[in-house]
Amino acid sequence: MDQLSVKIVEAFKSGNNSDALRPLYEQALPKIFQYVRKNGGDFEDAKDLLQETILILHQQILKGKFDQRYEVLGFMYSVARNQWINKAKREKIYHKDPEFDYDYHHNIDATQLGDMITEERKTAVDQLMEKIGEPCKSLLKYIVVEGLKLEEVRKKMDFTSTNTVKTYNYRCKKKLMDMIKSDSYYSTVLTK
Amino acid sequence: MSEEKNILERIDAFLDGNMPESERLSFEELIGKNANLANEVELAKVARQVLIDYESSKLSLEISKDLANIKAPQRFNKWFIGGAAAILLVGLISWFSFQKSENTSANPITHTRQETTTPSINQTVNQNDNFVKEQPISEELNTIETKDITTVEETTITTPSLQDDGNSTAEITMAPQKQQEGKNQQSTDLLEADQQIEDVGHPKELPIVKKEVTFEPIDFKLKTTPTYRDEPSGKIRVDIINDNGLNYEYSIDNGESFQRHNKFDFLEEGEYSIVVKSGDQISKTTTLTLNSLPCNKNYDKTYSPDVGMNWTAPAVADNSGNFILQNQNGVVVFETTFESNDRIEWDGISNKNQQITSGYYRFTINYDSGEKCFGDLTILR
Repeated sequence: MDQLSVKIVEAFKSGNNSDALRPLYEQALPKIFQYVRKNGGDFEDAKDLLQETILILHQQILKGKFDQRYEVLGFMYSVARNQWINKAKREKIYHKDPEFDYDYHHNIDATQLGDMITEERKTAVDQLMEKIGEPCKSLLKYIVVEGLKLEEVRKKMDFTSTNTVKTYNYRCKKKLMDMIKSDSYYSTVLTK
Repeated sequence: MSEEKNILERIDAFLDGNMPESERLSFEELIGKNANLANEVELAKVARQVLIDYESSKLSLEISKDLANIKAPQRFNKWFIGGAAAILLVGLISWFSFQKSENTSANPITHTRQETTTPSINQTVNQNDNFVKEQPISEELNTIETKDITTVEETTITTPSLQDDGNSTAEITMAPQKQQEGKNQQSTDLLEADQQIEDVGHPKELPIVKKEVTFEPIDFKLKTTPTYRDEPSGKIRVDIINDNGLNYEYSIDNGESFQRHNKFDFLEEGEYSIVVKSGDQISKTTTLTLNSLPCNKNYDKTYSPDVGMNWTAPAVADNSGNFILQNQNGVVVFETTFESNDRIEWDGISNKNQQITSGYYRFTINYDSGEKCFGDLTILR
C-alpha cells in the first residue's frame, strides 16, 4: 500500500475523517468527474458517486475487510466504476466507455457493494445510539470502531482504572445487544 | 453475571480474531453445537455493525456538507481562450506604445490612472507600474487602457512635487471624473473616473505617486474558560471584530511571542496580556486575569455503584462546605456537608436510603468561602 493509502486508512480508523477526506476530494473527485462526464453524467453525479464510494471504503476499513495490499484510489475507482455501470443500466444512461483513466484496476467483490446503509437502517441505528447514550456511545466507539486499548480509553474518558473501562465495556455491549434483541423492529431491520 | 461477562469476552476475542488457533477451533465447534451461543455471536456481530453504521452515517453527513461547497470546475472554451489572447495582444501593443511615447518628450504629458480603489483599502503604488501615459487621440490603444476602470471614489494621494528639486511632496485629492471631451469617444463610455496629473517640469521622468496607508485599528473580543486547580486547563480565545481577512497573529504575553491560532489552551491561572498583530499593525494590549475553579478536573464522570466502589467528588483541599446532587429535574437526591480536608465520598444511595437510578445528574459543591464548583455525573447501573 502506498503512503497516501496508509494515511487515509489510518485517518478513517482513528475517526479523523477530515484528514482522509481531503485527499479524496482533491485526487479522486476530478478523476471520477472525468469518467462520469465521458459516460453521460455531470458534476452532481460525480459528487454522488464519490460519496457512495467513500462510504463503501469507510465500511470496509472499519470492518477490517479492506485489503491493505491495494491502493485506496484504485479501490475507489473500481467501486465507482461498478456503481456507475449499475446506475447507468438502471437509469438507462448513455454509457460508452466503462474504463477509468488510471493504471490500476482490481476486481471488487460484488458483495462489497451491498454496504450502503438504507434509510430504514439508518433510522434504527440513530435511535439505538440515542437510547444507549453516553458514556456507552463514546466508549464503544473507542473500543469497537477505533480499536483502542483499555488504557487509552481510560485516559480519554477520565476513568480511574482499566477495570472500570472493562466493566463499562461489558455493560454497554450487553445493553446494546439487549436493546436489539428485545425489540422486534430493531432485530428485523438490522438483520436484513 | 460473571459467566455472561466471560462469554461476551470470548465472543469479542473470537470476532476480533484475537483467539489462539486451538481455542478458536474449539469455540467454533461450541457455536455449532450451542444454538444460544450461535445467536449471541450473531447478535454481537449485529451490534458491531450498528456501531460502524453509526460512524458511517455521521461521515455521510460530513461529506454531504463538504461536497455542497465544491463547485464544478470551469471549462475553458474557445471564446474564453480567444478573449484572453486578445487582452494579451492589446496589453503588448499598449506597452510598446508606452515605450514609444516616453521618447517623445517635447509634448506635455498627461497621466491617466488605471486602477479601481475603494476608500477603505489603500496601498502604496508606484506610478511607473500603475499609471499609463495617454497617447494622442488618434491612437486607438487608449480605448483599452481605460476599459478596466469602474468607480474611483475620493482618495488621498501623496506625490512628489513638480518643483525642480523633485524631493518635496504635494497632496492631490482624486475624485471621480469623466474623461475630457475631445478624447477617444469609445473610452468615454467605459470610463467612470480617472486621475489626471499635469506634468509641467520633468516630462521625461514619471513622478512616484504614493497613497497614504490607513488601516482601521485591530479590534478584538476575548472569551475565557477558567482553569481547574489540579491541572492547567484554562482557555483564552481571541476573536477579531473587524476582521479584514488579513493574516493575524496572537500573543498572550504582551507580544513576546506570537502564534497564528486564536486559541490558547492548557493555561494556568494568572494575568495574561493579549496583543494581536497583522503585518506592521499591532493592536492595543488588553490584560485579563484567568481565574481557577475550586474544583479538580480529574474525577470519574460516570459512576456505577454496582461495581462496589465509592465515588469521590472533585472538591479541593482546605475547604469546608456542602455537596448537593440533583437529577435532571433539579430534585436534590443527595446532600452532605464536609469539613476541611474531608474527602466527599458517595455510595450511590440517596438521602432517603434508596439506590439512585441510571441517568444524568448534576452536582454543586458550595464552599463556605462562597466559591462554588459544578459538574456532571452519569450513573450507570
